Amino acid sequence: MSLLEVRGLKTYFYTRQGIVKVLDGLDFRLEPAQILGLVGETGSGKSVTGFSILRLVPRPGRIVGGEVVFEGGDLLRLPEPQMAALRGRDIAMIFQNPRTALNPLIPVGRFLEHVLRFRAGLPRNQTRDEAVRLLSAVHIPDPERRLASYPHQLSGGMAQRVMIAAAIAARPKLLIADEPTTGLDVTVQAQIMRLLRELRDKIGTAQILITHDLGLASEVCDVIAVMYAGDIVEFAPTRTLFATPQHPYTQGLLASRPKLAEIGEIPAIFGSAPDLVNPTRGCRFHPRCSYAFDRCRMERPKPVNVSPDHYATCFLLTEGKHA
Amino acid sequence: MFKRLARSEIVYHIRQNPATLLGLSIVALMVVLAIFAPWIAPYDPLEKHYDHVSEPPSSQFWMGTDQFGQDIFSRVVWAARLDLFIAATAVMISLVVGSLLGALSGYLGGWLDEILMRFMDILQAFPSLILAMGIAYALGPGVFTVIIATSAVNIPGYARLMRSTLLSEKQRTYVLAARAVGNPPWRILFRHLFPNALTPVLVNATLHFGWAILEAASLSFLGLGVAIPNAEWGVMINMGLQDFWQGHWWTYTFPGLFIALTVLGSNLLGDGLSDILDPRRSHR
Amino acid sequence: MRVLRFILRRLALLVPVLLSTLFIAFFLTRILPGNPIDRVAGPYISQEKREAMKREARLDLPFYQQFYLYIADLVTKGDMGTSYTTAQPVSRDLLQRFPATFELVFHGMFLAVAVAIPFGFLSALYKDSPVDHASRVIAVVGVSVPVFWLGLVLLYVFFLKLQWVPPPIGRLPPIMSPPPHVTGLYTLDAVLAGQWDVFRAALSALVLPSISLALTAMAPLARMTRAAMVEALESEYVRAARALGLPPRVILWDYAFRNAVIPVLTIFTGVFGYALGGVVLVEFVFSWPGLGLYTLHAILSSDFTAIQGAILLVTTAYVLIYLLLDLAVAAIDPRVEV
Repeated sequence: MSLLEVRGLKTYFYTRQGIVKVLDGLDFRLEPAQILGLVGETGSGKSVTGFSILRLVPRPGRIVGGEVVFEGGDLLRLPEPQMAALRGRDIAMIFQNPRTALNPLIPVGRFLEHVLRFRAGLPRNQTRDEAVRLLSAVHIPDPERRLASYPHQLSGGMAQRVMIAAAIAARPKLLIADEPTTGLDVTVQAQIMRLLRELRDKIGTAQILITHDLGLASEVCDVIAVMYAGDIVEFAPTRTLFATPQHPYTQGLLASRPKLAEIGEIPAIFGSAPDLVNPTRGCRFHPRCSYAFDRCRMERPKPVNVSPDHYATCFLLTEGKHA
Repeated sequence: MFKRLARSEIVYHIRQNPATLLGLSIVALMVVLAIFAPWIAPYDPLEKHYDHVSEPPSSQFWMGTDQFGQDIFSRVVWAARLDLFIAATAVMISLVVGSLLGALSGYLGGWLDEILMRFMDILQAFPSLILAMGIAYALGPGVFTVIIATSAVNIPGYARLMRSTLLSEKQRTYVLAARAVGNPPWRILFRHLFPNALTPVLVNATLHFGWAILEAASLSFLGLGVAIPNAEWGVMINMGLQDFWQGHWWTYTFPGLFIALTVLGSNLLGDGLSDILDPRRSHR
Repeated sequence: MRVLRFILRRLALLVPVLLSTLFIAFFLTRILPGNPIDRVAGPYISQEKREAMKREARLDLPFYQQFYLYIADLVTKGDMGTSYTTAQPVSRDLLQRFPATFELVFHGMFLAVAVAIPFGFLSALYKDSPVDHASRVIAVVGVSVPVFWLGLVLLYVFFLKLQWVPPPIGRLPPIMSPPPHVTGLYTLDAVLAGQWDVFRAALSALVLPSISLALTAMAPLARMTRAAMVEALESEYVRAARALGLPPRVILWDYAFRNAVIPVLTIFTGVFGYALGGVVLVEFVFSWPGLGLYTLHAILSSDFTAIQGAILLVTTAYVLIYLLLDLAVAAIDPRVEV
């Protein structure tokens, strides 16, 4: 059984300008101890997906339909107290800006002890030692001293490690990482990525890595789901995706990465971000697609399997054409 | 920023927010009262009706009479004229002086900026009524004193606004471009920088207006501002206080009500304006 | 002992602020047209006596020397000169009147905080609910109403009509004598002496004036509490805490409220300053024998030594409160450098 199965997830934002249908029927699957990369540009709905899984969609957003099946049970049907019991224990989330995600008034040690006491159920006398152990598990040097540090005294990388430590305190089965390294130095990025992989290897934590950086995703993820305008346009194991991308958007993304050996113009994907209040009819990507034809403008494409573990949502595949 | 909002958008937002509309209406009503006082007031505000002393509200004297036989309603209306005039003048002076000081300070920078801002800090932090009392002592009671006192205390507010706008815009490319082309500093100030500060200054001025009325009335109430028995809201309440023990509630209730209404109106308006003109709002 | 150094450093700031305020006070009384002696003495004093008074007030000396001597007297002997209206040393006057004002301000601010903070807290928690709207309306009305008018209206209702409170003629009914002097605060001293009837009388005299004072201070405090709580509740760290599944009670108190207290403390000095102005008005309406009324009378009779003394005292009190609040913020907020 899959660890997480999202079916037809619909999350809408009710704004003054209209209803923004950020997610309008999202499907994907995650296996235990698997690292999934959710890659997309700003506004593609990737962060909202993460929030929707934890049912923490901020106002004015609301989950309006679909199923989020975690270990066999639909999270969307759970009463709030039971959902709250899951958070931080079975499913945890870390955020983009670690320094602002930590309460500036609470020192690191107390923060971890809170999590340990309330989420991991540890008795008070054991929390301090376990906190130290958590800090060293995320490779923070001199962990005993670090317990007294306040968030503003930590570097970005260290703050993110503290967040990760808190997130894994109760040994969650699923960790959602929302742009965990954006805003950090490249070297620190690599360290955090290594840490995430280590978590999977050592504790078996499945992860959803939400990022806009395809390259970053390729370093850690087993499978990658490419998102565009609230849909998964392509889903494949990392290597397969890079080798044989099927969806024009994926191809565009791959082509637009600067390569060391080549000099010349970097091909960009023309067009601008989609309007999600009045989405176009048909495939959401077609206004920016060089291969678009009539059917693309009329209907929304459905996922088509290229191989058992690789699918893309594009009519090119059904028409037998190639991108 | 102000110009970017189409007129229809402003109307839309005002309609969305009933509180702002209420504030606007109240202020408008007071302004009308103030301007048309001579025609609205049935009696002369200082006319003493010796055979109708301290009478409760009646059909002849809508808000009753005070201990000198003066018609309260007429006085309230004329006081609107005086108080609104004082407040408006104070706001104007404060705005001009404060903005200039702030702009100068921000543009020139250096130790002048430091000292000026420290002084502004102290001025702003000090209890305003005490300061106003001090100024009243130095200058002696009167309308002029009230205007000066009420404007002086709020200068730091405008100065800060101007200065911060200036500081943030000073580094912007378009300013550097203007300077590179050879525009003199004052033209840069007026053409580019002032319009950007217009929004917060406008909000500040609206709130300041209401507050100025409170201060003016307070000073006059204490006997440090407009002299008794002129028609001023604070003065009228003072006279009501003298007459308190007889239970003639109409002598002070009505003027106070008008003060409260006017200040309420300007507060609601100011709050609403700051919501509407806030550039952080998502506009289509 | 970093705390001690922090306090000392802040106290050191007190000195230049005091000096400059005093300088301004001196300036206002002496440089502007008209002689302070002429103003306070009135027209019936003979020219000789006038000259003698001028010399005694050191007005024949250059400005800077006057200022220096005043400071010297103040620092060495605690002498602020003699009041022209009470014929007593100003320092004695101030000391005498201080407890009345302190009692009033204390009760008023205590009431304001006790009501405003919970209201703002609940308002933020149940944002956009009817309770929220109601308290916001009350807050904006509270800020608009002139405190002296409010006092009068309250007096009319609760004294003239209902007779629930004593007449506004002072801190105690004229037949009652004050409790034995320990602090000068009648309520406290009465409790200490076990004089419960005096305690009750003093408290009932305090009711309306403190409520009037409190009502104007409540509004900005409630507003800021609400705004700060809303900001905290919508912050990243609260979202992260929720994502980690921390229980709602912990999030509410340790993550939201604690953080919201800081901006509230920051505006507290401003509110306090506003209240100091309000105290003058309240004392006037209720004939409360405190510093506010004293300062007012001093200004009305041009008693410039008294005015100087009063300004000095007000400034000192204000800066001390500022210091206390700075300390409080530093104690709670680890980002502040001590």
